[in-house]
Amino acid sequence: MDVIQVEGLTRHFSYFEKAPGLWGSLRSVFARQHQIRRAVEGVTFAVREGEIVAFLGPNGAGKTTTLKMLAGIMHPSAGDARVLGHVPWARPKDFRMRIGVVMGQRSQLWPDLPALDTFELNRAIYEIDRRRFTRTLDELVALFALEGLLAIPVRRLSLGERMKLEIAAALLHDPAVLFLDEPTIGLDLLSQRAIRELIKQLNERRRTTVMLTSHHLSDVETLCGRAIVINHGRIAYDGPLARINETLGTRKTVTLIFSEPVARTALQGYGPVRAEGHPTATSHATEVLSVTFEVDRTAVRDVSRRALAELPVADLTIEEVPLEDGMARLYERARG
Amino acid sequence: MSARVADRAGKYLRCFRLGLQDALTHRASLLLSPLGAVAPIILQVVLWNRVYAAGAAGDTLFGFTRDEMLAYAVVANLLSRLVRTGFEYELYEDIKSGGLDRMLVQPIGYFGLRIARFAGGKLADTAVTGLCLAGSLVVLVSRTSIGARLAVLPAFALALILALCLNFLIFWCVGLLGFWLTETGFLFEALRVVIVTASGGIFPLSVLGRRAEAVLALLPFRFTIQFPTEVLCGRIAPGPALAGLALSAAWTLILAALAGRLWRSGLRRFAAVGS
Repeated sequence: MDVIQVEGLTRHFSYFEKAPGLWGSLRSVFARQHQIRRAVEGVTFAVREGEIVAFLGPNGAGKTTTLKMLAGIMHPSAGDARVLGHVPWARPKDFRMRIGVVMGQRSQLWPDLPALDTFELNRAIYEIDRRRFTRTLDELVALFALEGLLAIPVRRLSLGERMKLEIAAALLHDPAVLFLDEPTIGLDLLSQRAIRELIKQLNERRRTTVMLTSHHLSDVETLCGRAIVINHGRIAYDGPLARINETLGTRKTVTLIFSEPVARTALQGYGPVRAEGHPTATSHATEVLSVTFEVDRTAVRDVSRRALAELPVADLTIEEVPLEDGMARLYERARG
Repeated sequence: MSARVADRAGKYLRCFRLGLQDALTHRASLLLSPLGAVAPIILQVVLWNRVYAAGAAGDTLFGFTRDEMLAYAVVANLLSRLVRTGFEYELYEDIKSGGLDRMLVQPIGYFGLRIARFAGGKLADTAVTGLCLAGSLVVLVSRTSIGARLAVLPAFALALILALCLNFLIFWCVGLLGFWLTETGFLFEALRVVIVTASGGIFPLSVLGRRAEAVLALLPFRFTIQFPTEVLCGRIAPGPALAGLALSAAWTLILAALAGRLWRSGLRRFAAVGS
């Protein structure tokens, strides 16, 4: 069953341009050049119940704007959307009772009070009965390892601890759909991993539908089977994450490690060099000890055979182009 | 009371409690609160004493005798503190930095949430200011020729409640300007000073001259400080006091309607423009 349905969603903003400097500022007081920015342009997709979908794209691509429209915070300029059967921006109470929203840079926790106080407030706001609240809280404390954090004023906690509590606060009412905007922003690697694990377990145990935006591809690789890549307000890709590179083209990397230094001139004609290793810090202009080529999938066999025949190869590795590269290319492609 | 009403009341009661708890965590601010209430009063008392001492004894100034002016300075200062808001900055920040986003997605009214939180946060300070007001009245009645009569207390209580509502609504409307004036946070401070002055919170409006006083009489601000102060100090006869209360109530209704309109239209703009 589709819990999120989006059809031609569009959001335009008007803004004004201002020339730099004091003169520009003075001029802008009297005359402003209004412009239109097309933040989201005819976006269409659907999300099934229990899916975790990554919403990816470079800064300013339209991810947060789309998420805001789906959470009911912002009205679209055109198009339609249904979340749990509701028009989000009408914000009916039943809709608000069944969604959870975490915005990585905007806390809902009261900074000077322990998180438990905010949790109690949420219990009242979402009209959760005491027994259900206690049961859910116990579950979240165990799942998120929150023992010992609930009674400390939020201001005193680390960013990672705060984010765990932030997500827990958004889950107390057991939302059917969870919108996470940059849930791992600013977190260290361990905290990022902990948050990812949490989201994964949450989805497995409660079948919560999760839609998240992130710049950390590791978030996406761990959690999401499906990615929607948006750029310049349009969908550039919608499908399994693993197939982003496939869709983009048929390129692989061939890494060669040599048994002795090889002259750079001997490496011509194999393909674009992605990386190379040098015998000494000063010799990189002329010789290399290892090299990684990016080659077309159909040419991998020929390149490998030729390298083995012509060069002193000690080791040869063939790999997929990293996801980051695929994403970067996707962003570039959408720009062009 | 139905369960639904109880649930709804419970939300705002919890906000109120959290506002109070939050205020209680700021111990230094709480301990310094009486000092903050008393210091400006001392300054004004010294100032007006000097002003009256410079003139002939028994003279009235701006329509006030020395005792009346001292009583006005003390009560108006305390009332100004009692009705003071301060949430307009939070409201402005919520709109500007997008904090409003996370509140809009929750099943609770933003206005109710803010008012409950504000009332809870203000309770401790209100208790301190209320005590200062009671103490000041005792001193004024015993040490000056001002005779605060018990008969004025019901009218004062009503005037004070209306003043609290009115001032809340005035500054709520000021805060809502954040929907349109996203680049001018400093404006609020300027507006606050103007509004407090126009309310008679710094000195009686007669100090500004007859013409200014006549203009300000047409606006709602004087009902937040000057009017309840004059009711308490017995400077207004029962008839005009009743008329003042009715006018104050009318202004409260007008401001409530304006606040509702600004909120709806601001929210439409927020939903259209974003934070």
